[in-house]
Amino acid sequence: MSSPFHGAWLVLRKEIREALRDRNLVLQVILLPLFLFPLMGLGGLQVYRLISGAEEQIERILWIDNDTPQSVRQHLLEDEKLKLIPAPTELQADCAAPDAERFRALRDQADENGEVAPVALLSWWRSPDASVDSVTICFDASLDRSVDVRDDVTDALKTLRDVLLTERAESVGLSPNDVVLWEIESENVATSRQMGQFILSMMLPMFLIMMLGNGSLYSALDTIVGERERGTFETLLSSPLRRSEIMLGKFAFVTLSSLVTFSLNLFSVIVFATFAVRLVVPPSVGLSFQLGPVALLAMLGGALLCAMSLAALMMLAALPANNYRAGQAVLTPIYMAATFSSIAVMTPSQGFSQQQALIPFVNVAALCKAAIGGNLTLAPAITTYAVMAALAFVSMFIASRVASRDGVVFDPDLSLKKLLREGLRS
Amino acid sequence: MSEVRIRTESLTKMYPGAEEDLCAVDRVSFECHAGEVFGLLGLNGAGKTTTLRMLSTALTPTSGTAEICGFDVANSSEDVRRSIGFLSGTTGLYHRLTAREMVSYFGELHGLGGSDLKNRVDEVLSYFGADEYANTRCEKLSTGMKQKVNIARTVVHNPPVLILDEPTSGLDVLAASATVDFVQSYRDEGKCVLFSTHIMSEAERLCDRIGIIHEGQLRACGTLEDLREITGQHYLEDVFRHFAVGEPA
Repeated sequence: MSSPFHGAWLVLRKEIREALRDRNLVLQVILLPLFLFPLMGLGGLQVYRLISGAEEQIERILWIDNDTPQSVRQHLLEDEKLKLIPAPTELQADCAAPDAERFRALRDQADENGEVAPVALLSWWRSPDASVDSVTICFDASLDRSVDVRDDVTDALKTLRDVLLTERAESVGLSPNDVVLWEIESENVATSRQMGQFILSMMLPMFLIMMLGNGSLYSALDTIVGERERGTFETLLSSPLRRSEIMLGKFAFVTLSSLVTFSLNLFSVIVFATFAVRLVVPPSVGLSFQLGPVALLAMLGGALLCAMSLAALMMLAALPANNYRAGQAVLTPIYMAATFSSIAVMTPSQGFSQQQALIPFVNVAALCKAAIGGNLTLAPAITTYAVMAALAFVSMFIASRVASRDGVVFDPDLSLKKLLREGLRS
Repeated sequence: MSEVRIRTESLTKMYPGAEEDLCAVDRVSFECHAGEVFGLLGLNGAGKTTTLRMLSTALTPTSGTAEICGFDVANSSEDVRRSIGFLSGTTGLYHRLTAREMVSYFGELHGLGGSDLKNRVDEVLSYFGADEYANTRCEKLSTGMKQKVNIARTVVHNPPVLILDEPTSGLDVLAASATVDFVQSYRDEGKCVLFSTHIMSEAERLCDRIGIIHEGQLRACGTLEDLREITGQHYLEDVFRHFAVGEPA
């Protein structure tokens, strides 16, 4: 061999050639990461449109107390989707708050009778010892439409109160400023790019770790378990290559598959997010999905080390498996552990801390989130790289030692525990 | 006597067991020479495959030594593997590679490259009549075609020693016959062939010398005539039973 890596390169090249001809592997490593998000997203958009279209068609009924002032009724009727119906006599409240349980029972009864049931009740009443009227809105928080009506009615009442206050102030010769003490306004200072980064950072890290796992799982199965199942492992071992060269070539293949899956998925997400946002978000909101070069490099660095660790762990776990089913049984827990651990960073308030950086896979998900969100700090990033590099190195070292054990190809009763014990002892 | 290509001395392989260790190969010693087919004859589980795997360096001997072309299997394993072509009955092919790619891959693993590789691949494929389906993926080949590709893969680097572990196992009559023909022709080229089988007719037809292995021990070793003389039996099956089971015919 001309160099110690030449044999590994030959193995890698052969693995790539074979992989590109394997429909299952092409589906898992190339097509799935490319089209998962567009298909999921387009499906989601269709469902969203159907639901929102259907919602728009539904008339929202509000039971309204007879004592409600005419001005309030007029104001509420400006909402075309809202239909006001006098509340049943049992719910007419004069000097006490309405019975919410009674409202629910009557609403359910209307629903059971096939009538269009109200989603909320507006009750106008005054306690005998009170000097002002009270308004109670009974609504159902488990129904979006009911919550919307509660919000709309509340807004309408507040607006009307301000108008009436202003009129009364003017009628007694006061300036409106004497009764309206301040106006509250808020403005979102986040740029469209920052908004896009925030949204991406919520969902993307988990999917990226999932894709890294996906790429390594199927390629590790094929290159280790498939080799044994086809009966080609023994042939390969009888070639002049050292076992470490064979393992290095296979390791490079699994890592490469994992990285390809990751990169294609990242590309797909950004392209799809940019495209989909035009369909659902009004231009006034402004969302932009772009990743800067530093964020991309940081993510690719983390992804590379994560891919190396997953590749080494999966190859190690796959070594004792005699067939695909046994291989899947041992590799799936690793895949699930890596994917589920990344969920831990999905909450918006989670920052990228040193503690997180010490936990494998969680740290890469947190790094990706911070990189996308523009909050990447150097210390936890370095810790993440160090932890993942150490994990990859140790896993690969153990896998290489274990692979050099005699029975790794021939022992039908091999287990990971037995391999680790004997491989490390040797 | 011609050059010694394979030499084993007290070659032993123990497998650790739950209660006691299992001795798969017990102090086996023999020699194979250039231009010779040496047959290792034994029942299933007798230790033939373990012996051959130690010679191919896939397994490490527990004790004893083995040399191939002067290289020790334990200390010069890479040189040993460069010197051998190894084929077993369970050896498979990479289904998604074509016959040519399969043979080329193993040629490259053995250090061939460029025009040497191309010429040698063409030569061996042509020798086995595999050039017609050289660009067909291995998964689409018949059993006989696969066996030819497998043998071509085994000898692409023109090794001085060929180790064949029950190479006709599971083959139909024609494919098995082609394999036997090839072994004869390879021996005629002055190469050393170590051949394990439990099919007596094959051993009788092919082997210049025979070693009978039973329960991990080499019970007898010599030419068929030598063994006939020792046992007083004519048929190899009876000779084998004499050494292996101790039963007279």
